[in-house]
Amino acid sequence: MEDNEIVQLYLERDENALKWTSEKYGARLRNISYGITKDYQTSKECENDTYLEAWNRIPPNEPKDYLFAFLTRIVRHISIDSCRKKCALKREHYIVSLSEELENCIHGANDVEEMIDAKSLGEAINRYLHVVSLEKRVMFIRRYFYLDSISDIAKRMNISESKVKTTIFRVRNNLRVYLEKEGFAL
Amino acid sequence: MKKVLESMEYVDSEFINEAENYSPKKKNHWWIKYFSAVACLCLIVGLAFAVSKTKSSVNSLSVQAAELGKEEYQFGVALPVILYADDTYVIFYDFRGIYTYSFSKESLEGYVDFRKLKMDRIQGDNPTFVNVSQNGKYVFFYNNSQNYVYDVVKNEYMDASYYEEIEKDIYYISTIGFGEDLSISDGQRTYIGADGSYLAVELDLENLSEDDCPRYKNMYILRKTDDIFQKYYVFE
Repeated sequence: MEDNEIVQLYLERDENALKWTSEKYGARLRNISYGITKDYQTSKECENDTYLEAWNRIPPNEPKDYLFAFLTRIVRHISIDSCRKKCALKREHYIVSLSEELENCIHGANDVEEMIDAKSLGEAINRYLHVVSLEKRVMFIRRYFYLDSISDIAKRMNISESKVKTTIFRVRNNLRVYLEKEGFAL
Repeated sequence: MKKVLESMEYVDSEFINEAENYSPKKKNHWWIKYFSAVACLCLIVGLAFAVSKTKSSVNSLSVQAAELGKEEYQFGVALPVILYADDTYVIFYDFRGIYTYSFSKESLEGYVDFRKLKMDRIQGDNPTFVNVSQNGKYVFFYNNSQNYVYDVVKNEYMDASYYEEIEKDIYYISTIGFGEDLSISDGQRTYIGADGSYLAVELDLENLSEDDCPRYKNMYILRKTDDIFQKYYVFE
């Protein structure tokens, strides 16, 4: 079934929407969640929570053209939240370290949370990503959106880990320069 | 702190899809890379060898021609014949090849070895005929099955597929006064007109050995300028 048809089912409040979503994207969403939580049971829970969240958000949202991205954002958010809440997962440190890694792009910001609006920062990152090469962009997104490990990215992209590390390092540095120009240097 | 990572939620959907669906280009197997590298290396070495061989063969032609004088080479039945001459150089040939002698450098500048082309017959069956263009820059030589143009300036020859196109420009030597024989003569001056000017050039011999067999080393070019005769030893 096409994405727009699935979204239409959501809009019509037809519960088949959940069935079709699960059928089409369930495994991928679970995988994304597992990549973040590294816990199968938690990833199943996150997947189910994603369906519920999607059910609540559509409408008013109508992600007919970007259903997968829409669901991915939800499952990512829920998975990160789970990591923070469930100390047993021992994934908080990973999330924090990744966050710090990315935070270095905004040099000098000791309390970014208070000073920067996440949305405007996201939009600035978006603009930056439009001008970098596909390979670099994919690495960056895999690392900081999907929260993949370096080794996972290297396997996925069929390149060495050192190349991934180096590339991401450079992309981060360039992003930092870009954000400074955009006025995010605080 | 968490907002920085959260800001990633706002990246474009296309980037999210792109990163999810990205499939890297298949890497070549190591042996494909290896053999490609080896093949490229072979090609480069081959080309370099070919180029160096071409260059060396051009050089060695001159050396060979010069060595004719050192190795007691005798002339054949047909003595060298002048094809063309002007103020800068003279072109002559015999059954061994075509020779270009530069007056300014006083040395043999070019040589086409007929023996390499199996065209070393200028008499008898299937002889090689030789003509020169009016400007003295091209020499055409051919027999029943082979056609070549010798570029005097570049000192190289090639298949003469365009020979017929410039055949009309063939240079016909005009002689004035003594004798029609343009080969080595004894005391007869050959006057050759080139571009409207006339000069006197001839091939001559001296110091013949007791066996009276003329050799390349005995040959010189005699050139008359302003009533002065000057000798140029070609195969020294």
